[in-house]
Amino acid sequence: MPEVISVAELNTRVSELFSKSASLNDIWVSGEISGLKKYPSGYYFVLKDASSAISAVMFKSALSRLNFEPAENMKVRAFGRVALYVPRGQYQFIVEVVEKSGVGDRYLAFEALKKKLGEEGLFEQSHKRTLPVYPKKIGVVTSQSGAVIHDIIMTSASRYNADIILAPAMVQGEGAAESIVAGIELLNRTDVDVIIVGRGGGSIEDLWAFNEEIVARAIYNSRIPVVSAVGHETDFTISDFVADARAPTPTGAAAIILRDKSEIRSELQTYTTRLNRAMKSVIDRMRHSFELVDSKLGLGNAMDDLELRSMMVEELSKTAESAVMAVYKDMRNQYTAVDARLRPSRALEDMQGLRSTVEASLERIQASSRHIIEMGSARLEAVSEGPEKAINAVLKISAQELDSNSKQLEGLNPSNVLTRGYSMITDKGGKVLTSIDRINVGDSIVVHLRDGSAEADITAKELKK
Amino acid sequence: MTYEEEVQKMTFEESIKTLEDLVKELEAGGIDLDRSIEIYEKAVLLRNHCREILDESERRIQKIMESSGAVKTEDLKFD
Repeated sequence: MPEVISVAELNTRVSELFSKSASLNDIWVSGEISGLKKYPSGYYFVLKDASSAISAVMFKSALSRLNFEPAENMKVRAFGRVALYVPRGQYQFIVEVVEKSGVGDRYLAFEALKKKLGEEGLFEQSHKRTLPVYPKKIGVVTSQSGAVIHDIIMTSASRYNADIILAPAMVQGEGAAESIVAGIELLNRTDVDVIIVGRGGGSIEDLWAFNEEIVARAIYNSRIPVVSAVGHETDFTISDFVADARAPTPTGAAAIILRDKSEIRSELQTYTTRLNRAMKSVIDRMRHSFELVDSKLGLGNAMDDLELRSMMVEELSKTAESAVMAVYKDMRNQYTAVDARLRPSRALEDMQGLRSTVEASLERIQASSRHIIEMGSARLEAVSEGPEKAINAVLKISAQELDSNSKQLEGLNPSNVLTRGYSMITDKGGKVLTSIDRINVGDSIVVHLRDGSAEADITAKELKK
Repeated sequence: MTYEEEVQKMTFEESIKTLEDLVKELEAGGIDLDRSIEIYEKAVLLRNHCREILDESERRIQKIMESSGAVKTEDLKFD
């Protein structure tokens, strides 16, 4: 008697067979969704391809993992297992995960191209060109009818002024990649300083042209730096990786390329402030050094005694004109600078005033020193007012002239005069006698010679007629 | 060519770069007064030139196309 089993038993056996079969569990099946019915318990549909079909179900627990909404005729890849519905003896595919197959293919293509171009070095940081800071002309490769070109024109209006030149291109669909490549190449034949390549947001299919190899290579080979601005902040394309810079959005591209005008203005203001501060410190420094030299020369006290003046003559001879001229020049420059900034009209006046002061001082020191020595130490008090001579002439005295003048002064030294055979007469108190009025018959005087002195009595005197 | 004429021929980028260099040189000190004044005067010219360029707001918006080998540029107009 052969074994007779119930239908339920049969279906249970088949069900067990299915569940134990490795080739029917945890498998990916690709097909198209058809006859989709949505119930609270799950989605029921038929997965089919050109020649076959299978019932499929996606239970509530699996639905929660969906990141897209399945739709009629959608090509998908489903992961799951084959199971028998025991009550009806029908087998079906229990779907755990479902992916849009287009997306999956694109994802794989994207990853493959990214890997390939990456290995080739197209994304190397070292190849990336620096964007111009102040471009005069910007090229844009995008659709003429899209929002992108408008956004770029609007955004750039308040920024550093640049011309914009659009190379219209198809940015999605058949032929888009070729059209973008043509735009990049065309702009490379112009004098634009930078190129924006981009489009607005869309699905991954819409953005696909920017993941094409020919576009990547056109960007890489561009002579002109390229900024990629595709879709939204979260969209990344191959173009973004290969471009010299990636902008999150087309509007962002304009902002990356063109500096804000008010920002540049405040930078210029900073330079102005720094410039004035630095110039002020230069002037302060010069003024300080002028005051030092001034106090060293002690113009105010210069007339006090012969010693000081002799020293000064010596110093002047040594440092010669250059020292005095340097002081004069510093002062002149200092005043020129200050006045040029404040009151240019007064600069000349002040300059001339200073010039007179310095020149007068120079002249005074020199002339009076010569004078004093001629007159002798006894007449010291009388010479505090030196002759005021032609100022310009003095300024022309060169270092050599000053030096030779000082040698002449040397020759006029009283002791040298005595060497030449002259004598000096003083009274017994040592006071130099230069006038016959001071001498009376019977006076005793002292005659000073080169190597000594002798006392003499006056026996007669005569006044010059 | 006077320095002013030279500046007029400079691009914005050249001007602001030169301005920056001059300010740094003046700040560094150690130069004589003649050079300091020269720097100051040049810097002011450069800054003014930069401002003039910034004030410029006229720009061309064009499109470029190629058809059968000929490149054509025209003003961009929106419908």
